[in-house]
Amino acid sequence: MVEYNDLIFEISRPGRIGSSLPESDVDSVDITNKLPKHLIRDVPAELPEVSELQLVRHYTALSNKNHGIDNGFYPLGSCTMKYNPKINEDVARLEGFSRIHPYQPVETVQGALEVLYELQEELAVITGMDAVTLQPSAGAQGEWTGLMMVKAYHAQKGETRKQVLVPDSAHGTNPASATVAGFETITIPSNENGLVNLEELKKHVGPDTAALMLTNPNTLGLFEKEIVEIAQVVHEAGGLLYYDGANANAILGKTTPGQMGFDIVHLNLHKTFTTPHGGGGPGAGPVGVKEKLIPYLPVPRVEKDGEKYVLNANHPLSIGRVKGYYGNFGILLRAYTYIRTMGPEGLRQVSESAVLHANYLRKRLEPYFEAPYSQVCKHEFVLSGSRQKKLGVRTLDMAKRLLDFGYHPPTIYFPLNVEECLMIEPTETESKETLDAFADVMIQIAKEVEDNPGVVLEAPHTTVIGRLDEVQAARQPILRYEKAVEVEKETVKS
Amino acid sequence: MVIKISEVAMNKLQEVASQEKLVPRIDADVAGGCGLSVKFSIVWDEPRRNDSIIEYEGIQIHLDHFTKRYLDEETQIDYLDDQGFIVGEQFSSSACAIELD
Ligand SMILES: Cc1ncc(COP(=O)(O)O)c(C=O)c1O
Repeated sequence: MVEYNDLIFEISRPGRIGSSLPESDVDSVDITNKLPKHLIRDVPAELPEVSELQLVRHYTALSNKNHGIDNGFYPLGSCTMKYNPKINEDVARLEGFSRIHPYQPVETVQGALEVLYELQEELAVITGMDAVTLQPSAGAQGEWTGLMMVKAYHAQKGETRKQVLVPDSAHGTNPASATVAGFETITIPSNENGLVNLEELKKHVGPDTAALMLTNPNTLGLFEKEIVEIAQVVHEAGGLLYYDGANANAILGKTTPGQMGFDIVHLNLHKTFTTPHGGGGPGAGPVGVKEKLIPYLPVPRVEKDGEKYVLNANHPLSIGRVKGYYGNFGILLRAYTYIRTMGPEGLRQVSESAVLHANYLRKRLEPYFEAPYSQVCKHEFVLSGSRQKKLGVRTLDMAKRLLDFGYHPPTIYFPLNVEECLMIEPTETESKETLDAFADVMIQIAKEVEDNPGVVLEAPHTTVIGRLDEVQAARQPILRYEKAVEVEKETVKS
Repeated sequence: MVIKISEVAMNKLQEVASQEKLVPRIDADVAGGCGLSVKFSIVWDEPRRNDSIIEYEGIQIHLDHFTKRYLDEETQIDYLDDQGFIVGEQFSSSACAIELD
């Protein structure tokens, strides 16, 4: 079978084209006297030249090699790789949405603005916040947006609070966003139950505390039961509470960050609200705030003026615009479709099933792996590969072995406070049969580690490409295609 | 693969080994989230199955399969008073060089 493994640059042949355009009926322009010299290429861009059929085969072959939720189980903890309903795609392809342009006059895109406005309203209810911006295009950008509002809020009160507190189980984007927003990050250690250590928190909270960032349930899949007291401690010191909504899939319709005492929330629509992700985007990280932070929301804001929807940039205390146009509209539309198809009762069922599935899988796997926090979890749970490590096999080796069975591995080595961590999030959309089949394979791998470690250490065996050196790839990334023609010729000769 | 151990590190290894029941190990520790990064360190722990063992002047340094896979072609072990053992690329001149297959 022809494998179509070549890069598109390698199948390129000079002069080959995939389309034919009519003769241009306008005069060509000499750009050398229209553009500054430094913007004009000396050498033409080396674009691949292929026929339409080659192009189609190339990308179809690539897509077949990809793993997505549509071709297999994807229990990537913290990422909520749930099924993305196809009705979302149908709606996103409606001409009234797909053929509009953000520069159109607002009178001509009232329907699109209505969707945005309604989505803001729905998300405010879901999170227990008073207002929402849809602009940020990822969770991390939502974090940064939220923290810039924290900064503006304190500044307006004449305060410069410099510290953002982050538990040691937090996702790396939390301290990263705090740093980019100009804060200093203070790490709060977790207690032996994997929850925020309240005593440690109290030691670090003070007049310099700008905010505490918290994920609840946290990245171990455990609910921070002392959240009300945590909120009180931070608020009494004048700080704000930021909710990282990456794990909102566990609480939909059950509770809200607002009820827990949070002031700012981001949601990852690409996780909880079924918009496709896994290739790095496009995403959406809307941010909700309590009333006292509304003046600082990014502009323009989608507002309702009588019967009309408007984009209002007239908010003088706003932190400004954080994204081109008004966020990733196609993604926002899919999330809105999901919320409307599910309804409040449907969303509540999502959380219940997500939590049930995680606990079912946890119970099946706990006898075979170390379970550092063996207790009822929310929508995900962590195991440790420490038992297997003693036998000379690491979590990464087991993750590679899962590929042989067609599964995307769980999240590994995160959170950082768990040795040889495996973080498993089955999501609500999988069947019991899938959960059982995955558990059977995990158990088989645990047994292989004992009886036949070689097969795990050398995995994967069945993938197109064998074991990759991802460390080398991180150290010496090759990010650009460069022709290897000369080298190849020499090898052929010798 | 070559592992180079500085004189200070060698002396320190011998000093600790004379009091320790556990074995010295070069260990890869992985940090994940989005993407993976690997850090190497010297830890004292129990032998693991299928460890590779480097023997030098009576000291047995263990390495598991995983760590061996990710170690650089040339790895250096050094010891600094404030940082303890450090494992990585070239730091300083070394007392010994051990070749591993
Ligand atoms: C707990 C947590 N917080 C924040 C983020 C960042 O979200 P995004 O990838 O959308 O920027 C992630 C992403 O995986 C996460 O798991």
